[in-house]
Amino acid sequence: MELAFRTDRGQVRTQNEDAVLILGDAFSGIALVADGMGGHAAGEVASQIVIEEFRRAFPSLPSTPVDIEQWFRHHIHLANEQVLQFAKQSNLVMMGTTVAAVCWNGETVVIVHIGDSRVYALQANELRRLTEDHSYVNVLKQLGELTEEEMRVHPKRNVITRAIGSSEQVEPDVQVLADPEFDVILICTDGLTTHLTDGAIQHVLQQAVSADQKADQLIAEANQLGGSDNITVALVQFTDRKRG
Amino acid sequence: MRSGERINDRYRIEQQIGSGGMANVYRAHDEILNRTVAIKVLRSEFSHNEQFIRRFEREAHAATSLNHPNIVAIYDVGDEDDLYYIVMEHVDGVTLKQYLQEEYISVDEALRIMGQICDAIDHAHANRIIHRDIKPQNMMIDQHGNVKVTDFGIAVAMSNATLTHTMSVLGSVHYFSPEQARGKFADEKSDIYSLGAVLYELLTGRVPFIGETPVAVALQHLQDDPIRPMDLNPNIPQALENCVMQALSKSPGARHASVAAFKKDCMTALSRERANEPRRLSANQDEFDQTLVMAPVVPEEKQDVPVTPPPVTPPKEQEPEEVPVKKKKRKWWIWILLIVLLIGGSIAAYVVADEMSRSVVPDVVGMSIGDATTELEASGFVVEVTERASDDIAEGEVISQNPQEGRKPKRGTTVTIVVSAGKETVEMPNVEGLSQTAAERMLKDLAFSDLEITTEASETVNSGDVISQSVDPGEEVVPSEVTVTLVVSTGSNKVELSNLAGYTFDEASIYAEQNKLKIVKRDEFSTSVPKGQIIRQLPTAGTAVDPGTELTVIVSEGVEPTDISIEREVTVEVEQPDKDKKPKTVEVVIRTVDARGEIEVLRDQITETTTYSYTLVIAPDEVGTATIEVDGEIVRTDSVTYAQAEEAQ
Repeated sequence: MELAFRTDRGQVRTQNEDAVLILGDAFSGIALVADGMGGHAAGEVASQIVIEEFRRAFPSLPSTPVDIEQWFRHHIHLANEQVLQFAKQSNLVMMGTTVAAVCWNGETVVIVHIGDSRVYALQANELRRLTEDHSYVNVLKQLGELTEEEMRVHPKRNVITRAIGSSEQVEPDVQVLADPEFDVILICTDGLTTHLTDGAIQHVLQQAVSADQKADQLIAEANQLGGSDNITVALVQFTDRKRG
Repeated sequence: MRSGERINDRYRIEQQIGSGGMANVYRAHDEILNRTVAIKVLRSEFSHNEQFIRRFEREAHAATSLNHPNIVAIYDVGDEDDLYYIVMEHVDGVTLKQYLQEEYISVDEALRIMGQICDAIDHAHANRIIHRDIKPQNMMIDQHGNVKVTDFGIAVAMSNATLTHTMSVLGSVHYFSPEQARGKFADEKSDIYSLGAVLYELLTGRVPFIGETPVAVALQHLQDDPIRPMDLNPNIPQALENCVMQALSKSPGARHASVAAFKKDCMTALSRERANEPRRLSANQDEFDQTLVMAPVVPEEKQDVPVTPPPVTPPKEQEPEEVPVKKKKRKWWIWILLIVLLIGGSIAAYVVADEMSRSVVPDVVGMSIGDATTELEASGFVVEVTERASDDIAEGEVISQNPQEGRKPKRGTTVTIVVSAGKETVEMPNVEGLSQTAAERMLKDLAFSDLEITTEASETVNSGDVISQSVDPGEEVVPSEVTVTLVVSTGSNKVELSNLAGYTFDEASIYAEQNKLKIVKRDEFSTSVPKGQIIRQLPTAGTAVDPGTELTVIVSEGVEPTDISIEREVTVEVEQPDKDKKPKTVEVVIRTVDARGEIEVLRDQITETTTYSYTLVIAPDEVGTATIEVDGEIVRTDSVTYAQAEEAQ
């Protein structure tokens, strides 16, 4: 297994409010990205709080699928409390962060997300988007009011409907998969998907190169197309997967 | 910003008068022109986004060109040390939103206000400025009842430039147009839609769409028809409802051609000529009632009627009665019939038959549902009842009716009556486990105004969180009529015991006193803990205990003293006789009284001086004594104290 991650400020922003974490090995691990929001320092703090929460929590990663799900929800809840607390103490409005995370333990893969950071998987050369953005434009898209292309240029594409730090109760979407036989998992912030279509992402992930090279290429392409936001990717590449 | 602070050495801040997600508004004094102004200051979180700042300034500058009695004038746009601000005319008054919450507005008053708003927007459009965020919160009503519209174009700066994520800034979804919901660029027609939404609220007291989240409201703008204003306020004439509904058309093309056209449509709605105007067909309905497609019905006298989609009749229950269009149609039919009937020769019969098949709708507003139903049915109508919550009208009483009294539809027509379901109830939410602030916020949002807080210690609920609520979750209640008592945890009363090991008993006593515990001392020897210090405690450290609990501390007495054995010697002298004489024999007895009790340790007969040794075992704080008897007479006692024995060791 190969792990790789990159986080990049992009071409427009003066700060990087994204954060990323990869821990573990072929047997068990976690890969997580967070896209902070709230302007001026608040976003950076929010995304870091989530990263630190899971860095601390990782050694206690349980083994059964049910327990992993519980563990995820619990630590998301704790991170949410810390962000709310910090925002309150510092008198910040609209401080928050997205999170998209993948955790694997044995053959179990658990996917969690809040907001519009995404998880993709490449399987048999097909790219699948495993998460549904919690965003205003995605709600409209799901109801057939917007196309994928309209979604990408909508002026309110930045409005997300769920975030860590948005309220006392924040529910992540959790998916528990048993031995899904993914070849590559990509976790990314919208700095990537604002510029790269799913087709472009698939093209990069399909190549027979190392996870590091893929990560570099994704960041480079997003920057070439404008790099309007911070760009963060985390890649998990199952190199030793035997396909039947 | 604090009061007294100065911006650009010119504007002295007096007081904060408003705040929004992106900016705060202050009342300030312009010291150069000696006048009161309002200053909108961008929140510092956003003052680092250059793209955002550029738009903020550009849009604000554009708005400075507007000069109209119904538009809040912009005097100055500037920045100073990362502080971006707009200096505006200060309007001494309240926002239209606040005004609506406090005042009852008649239809006439609504139209007067709307007329001024239309003038403002029309002026802006003439200057090619689209407002894009028309809402009652952006309108001020001054002391004289004049309306002034503010925040022209700012919405663009607020939305487009903030590519950074946000959770709450979807904008004013209650008034925005379907095309804005879709992310299309807003134009004059979008402003007309928003004007329609504001007029809707002025007339009915509520926004066209109510939803739990901004996204839900946005979706309704895209997909749903609002409740007919006349169903909410029977005082609204049909012509005015038509005007509102046309402005609220989903398709921009179906709306009025201009703000001026919209204004004219509103302002003439109460005129006598339009008193019998039929319900205008909404362009929105084509999507919903394809099956009902019938012959096109186009009122020729209206020039600004939707034409794009194939016009259809409205759903049955909304079918207007006695519409002029239909009259025409009917007249046309009558002519055919006439010809037919002329042949048959009984015109009068038909007319009478038609007249007899009609009936006058009685006024049932204010009646009980039973009376209203009886009355309507007696007139030959079918009654359909819709319930609606109302704070003013008693439960079971008719709020409004459709068709209205005096109309003459055919017998058998359905008359819809809106009946009060009593005060609006809400389902009591479950706030247990929430923090007090979150619970209060949630309840206040649901209009529970009478909240009482009591506190209680709790072992299971964190301090500051709600332990219980006086109204059970799920119960249907009228928020304004119940007192909700929340029991909030003050946290655990229990004391988590500190580790007292190493403390002296006196220190532990102070600790116990402070924590309202009873302290009990027990002594114990210890080889490891110095004398006087606490060895351990019961209950152990970390245990949470109630006040008054007995706390036993075991205090070291130091190393446990043990019996000491000590070897002693005594020499019994025997006089040596002359050589020839027989030696003298003496009997020696040694007894000891010590920790072992009384023991005769030795009995001997000797003829010469002999030294004996014996052992004394001395218990702590005791004395060991040996007596030495020679021939039955005590010749010596040997007493050793414990201290002496220790020393000798």
